[in-house]
Amino acid sequence: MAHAFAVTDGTTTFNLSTTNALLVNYAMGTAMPGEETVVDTVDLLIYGTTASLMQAAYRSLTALLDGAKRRSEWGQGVKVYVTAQLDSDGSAWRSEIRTGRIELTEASLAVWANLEMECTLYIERVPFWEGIVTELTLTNRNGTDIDPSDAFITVNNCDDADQDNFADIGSAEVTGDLPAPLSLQLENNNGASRSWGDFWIASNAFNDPANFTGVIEAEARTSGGTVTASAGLSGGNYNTQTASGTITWYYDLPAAMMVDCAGYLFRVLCCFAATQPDGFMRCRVTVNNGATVLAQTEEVALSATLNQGVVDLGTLPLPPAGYATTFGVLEFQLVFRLATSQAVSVDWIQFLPAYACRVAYPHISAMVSGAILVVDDIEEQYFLRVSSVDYAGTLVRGQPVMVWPGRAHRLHFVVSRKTAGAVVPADTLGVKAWYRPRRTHI
Amino acid sequence: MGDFTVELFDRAYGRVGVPETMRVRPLRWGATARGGPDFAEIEITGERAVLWRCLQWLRYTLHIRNEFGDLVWWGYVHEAIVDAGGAALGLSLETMHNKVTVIYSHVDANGESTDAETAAAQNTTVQGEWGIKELRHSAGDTTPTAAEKLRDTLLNWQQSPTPIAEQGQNAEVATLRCRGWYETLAWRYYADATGRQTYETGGGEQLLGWVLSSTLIGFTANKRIHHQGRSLGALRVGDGMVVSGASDGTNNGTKTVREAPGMPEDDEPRTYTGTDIGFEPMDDIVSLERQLGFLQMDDMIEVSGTVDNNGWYWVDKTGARNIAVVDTFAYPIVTEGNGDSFTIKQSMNIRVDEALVNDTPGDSVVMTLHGQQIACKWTPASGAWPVDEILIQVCKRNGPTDNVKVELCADNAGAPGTVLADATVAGTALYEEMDWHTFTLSAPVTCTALTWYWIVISRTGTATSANYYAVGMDDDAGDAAAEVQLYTGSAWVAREPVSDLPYQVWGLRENTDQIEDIVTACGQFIAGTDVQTTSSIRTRYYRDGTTTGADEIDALLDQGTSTGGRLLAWVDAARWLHIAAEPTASSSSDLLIGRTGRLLRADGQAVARGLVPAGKWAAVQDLPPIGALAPLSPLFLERVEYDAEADSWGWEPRGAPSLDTMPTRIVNG
Repeated sequence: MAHAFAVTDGTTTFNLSTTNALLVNYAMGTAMPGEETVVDTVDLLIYGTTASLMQAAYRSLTALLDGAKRRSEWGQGVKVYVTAQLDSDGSAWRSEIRTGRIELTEASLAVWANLEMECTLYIERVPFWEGIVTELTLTNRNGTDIDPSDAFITVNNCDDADQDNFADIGSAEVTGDLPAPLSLQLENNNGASRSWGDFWIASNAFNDPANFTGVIEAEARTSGGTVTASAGLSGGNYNTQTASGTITWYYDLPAAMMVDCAGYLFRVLCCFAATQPDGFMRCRVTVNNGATVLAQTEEVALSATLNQGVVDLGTLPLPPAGYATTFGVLEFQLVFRLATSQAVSVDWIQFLPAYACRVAYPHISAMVSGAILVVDDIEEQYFLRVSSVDYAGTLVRGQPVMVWPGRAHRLHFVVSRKTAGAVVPADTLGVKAWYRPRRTHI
Repeated sequence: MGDFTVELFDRAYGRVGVPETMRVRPLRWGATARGGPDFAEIEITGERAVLWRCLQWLRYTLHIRNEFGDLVWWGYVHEAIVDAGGAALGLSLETMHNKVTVIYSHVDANGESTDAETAAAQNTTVQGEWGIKELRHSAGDTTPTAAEKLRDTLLNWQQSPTPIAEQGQNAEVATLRCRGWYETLAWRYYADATGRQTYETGGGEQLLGWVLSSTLIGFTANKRIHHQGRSLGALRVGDGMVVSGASDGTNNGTKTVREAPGMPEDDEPRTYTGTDIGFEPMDDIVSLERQLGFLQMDDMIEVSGTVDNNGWYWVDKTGARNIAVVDTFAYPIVTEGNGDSFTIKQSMNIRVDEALVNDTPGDSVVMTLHGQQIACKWTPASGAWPVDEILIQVCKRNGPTDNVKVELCADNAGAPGTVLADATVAGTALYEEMDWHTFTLSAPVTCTALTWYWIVISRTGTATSANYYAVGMDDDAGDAAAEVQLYTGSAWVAREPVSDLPYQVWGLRENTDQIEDIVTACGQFIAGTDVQTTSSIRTRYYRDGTTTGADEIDALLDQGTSTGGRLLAWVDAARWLHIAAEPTASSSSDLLIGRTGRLLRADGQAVARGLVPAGKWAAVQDLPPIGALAPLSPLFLERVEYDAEADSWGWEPRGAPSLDTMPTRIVNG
């Protein structure tokens, strides 16, 4: 079997090596670091049984290239791919075309009478090839080695001794030689509507994913606040304090956690156990004397009326010292500043790797039971699927959730609420994940 | 270029999506230590027909996030422009004004040029969409009717976002030019009608604390009071006084000056001593050297040094060579030739309304001028507000060393009542010329409109004609409410002529409290004010509405704190305005300036792309430990810009010279 190349938009396919074209040579370009596109040079002989059929074939190809250009410039319309299946491969790989052109050779008119058109096709495309869509096996305490064909794996909305707000991906799951984005489906599997706000989704590939929890229970403070038991909350407790002025709670950042974090940036989420107060808050990393601030986030406003139970405090380098694997314990502080005496009640603090952290926000008042939030960073599509109907309006920010070949991953999930109140640790998500392996060259 | 993303929120702050058919690229943005994020430029590519939708995003909230999802810039869309081919067309909020006032000057019915201002014309429907943006347009000389027409025309032209046109690049590209929320504080003018009550017309004066106590005071039946000295020179027509101590009761009691001394106050009553003086019966005094020309009709003079003619005389006829005296007092004169040294002392006199009887000096007479205290009543024009400062026009005469006291009193049946607060200014701090002086009350007193209060002025030392004070007056009495009352020593009486007291009453307010007030009034998009550091400086808070809220806040911030610190301000992504003292530099600065000039975190790692950390300190890496270089590290970053295309920062340190020729801005990358 020969290598097979084609240009396709999913509806119209122009085979570069069969039907109306003879592939003479396909020279693949290689992107230099930082380049967003690469150019392939394809020598072709387009032919037909009649001149008009030959010209029709030519026009078919140029129409596809025009569609690719339009998609690239306008961001509208269907994507156009060049696909390639080497005779050693069982399936085709694809690479999105950004633009392209056809140049006739000097001899093209000389052989015109033979109903052949010698030409060179230049394809400017993204600098990688994608394989077929592959569902990833996800694992956590709610299910192990879930068969891709099975139902969604359940992910809790907190991470304690009994619940996991993450799902693991084995190191052999992701193939290819480039990091690849995920397509995720997050289902409301609670059996009732949920007024969910922001969905934080992060991929841990470089911070000991199998062992990194990324959670500090608020009650695990070394000082500040009062620990109060509450069975429904993460860890069965929360930390609370009623005061005005500046309130500081102190926590240890264990050495093991710092070693795992290895100097990467982490997004810090403060998950409230009750309606948050009106005021401001930030977090800090300090040396163990509590006084020397190594890094801190900017203050963010708290609002008792607008809050969603989870406050995104921004990112912190953990620890703030570049990459290393032998860090010692540091101190972490939550600092609240309240103009009037108010209660602050926090359930837990979540640390998410910032290098692959996506935030999605479904623009609806509530997700009905069974509704699925689709966060598809492969096709760059984000929508809500209810009863097999896709509804637009989901907003995203941050980076695509990525997976890296040959590495184990842990996908973390935190869901806020759309209305005022506490985060709901008892909520669950059903999660499925797909990816397309990516390669520099096929 | 890093992966920067943009979030949009509509004019009601609801999240909206950027159409997937648009490719949005933040190009550059910046922030300053005062205000926070201040500008951003966003490029959008896509089909031109779709790009026109950008024009609907004016005043949308816009956030820029970096590759890690951190917010790096926030503000609103100020202009949107789409390349339409040969030209780029767009809409701008820069020249939008939906509340317009025209200020102008015109010649009034009396032929005098008068400054005036039209009432504001506004479109509340448009304001509901875009917010209120005010314009005070100066029209120069015009008529009231023309000014109102101009106002209406300006409103019609500018009430909605205005068109802009630029050279196009013939590309399918749109540009959003964004501004920080701090700038919107300049959209409105700030006025606070409370905190000030004034009447500033002056020109006259009233003596304060003047008492003449002397044995050299005489009286003549032609209603004149004489004094051998210069003290009477301070009096003016209309002054009232209480005379006491005269042996004849007719001369005691309240007197009113009808004629002031004929000589200038500074012209000392003269004394002449000479051997040319001689006396001729019955009433002549002769100076062979013609030295008596300084004497005036009705002067009371004292002759001394003679054998037979010593005593007090009343001049009846003047002349340089000889004068005649009235037939009273030491009359008649007897013959006494010249040759010996005789002395003639002139007295100063005033004429009063009341009848007097002849009486030579000798009794211990006291003249107590009305004005031992001076008072006028006032009431705030509106509202209830704390009074902190009272200003009056006052000057000193002859170097008094006591104090002038101003009391704010309650009204008691039309006269000054309970003292609510007071303040003093040392006489030594006053000028010889009339000028405004500020009396800061011991404690603020809240005064309410339509309730009368009194300003009472007195001196703290003993009243004397040797040194005293004068308080500014409006003798034309232009303000009926400010009618002056004078204290006689036992009662309050109206001043003659009826006069007004020029005064200024001011309220003070702590500067950061004032900023909160201004934000409340002008910060239509600001969620609230968070004062982390108070200025502890109290200044006047009355505002006449001719300055924008942003300029007013800047002026207050410029005053810093009572300890000499600087105040910074910034608006956060939740649109809260924060006020805090500039952080102090420390050895562990927030940032480092690397060897290439690039900004680094304090741990030496690269600052996340897109952050613009204005208002923070940055230590310069590897600076030699030479004392002279200390000002170079750490540096306070007054302004930081980020260029996403070049992945580079530009930053300006605080205090950099503003000379145009000096490179005060560093671009690195």
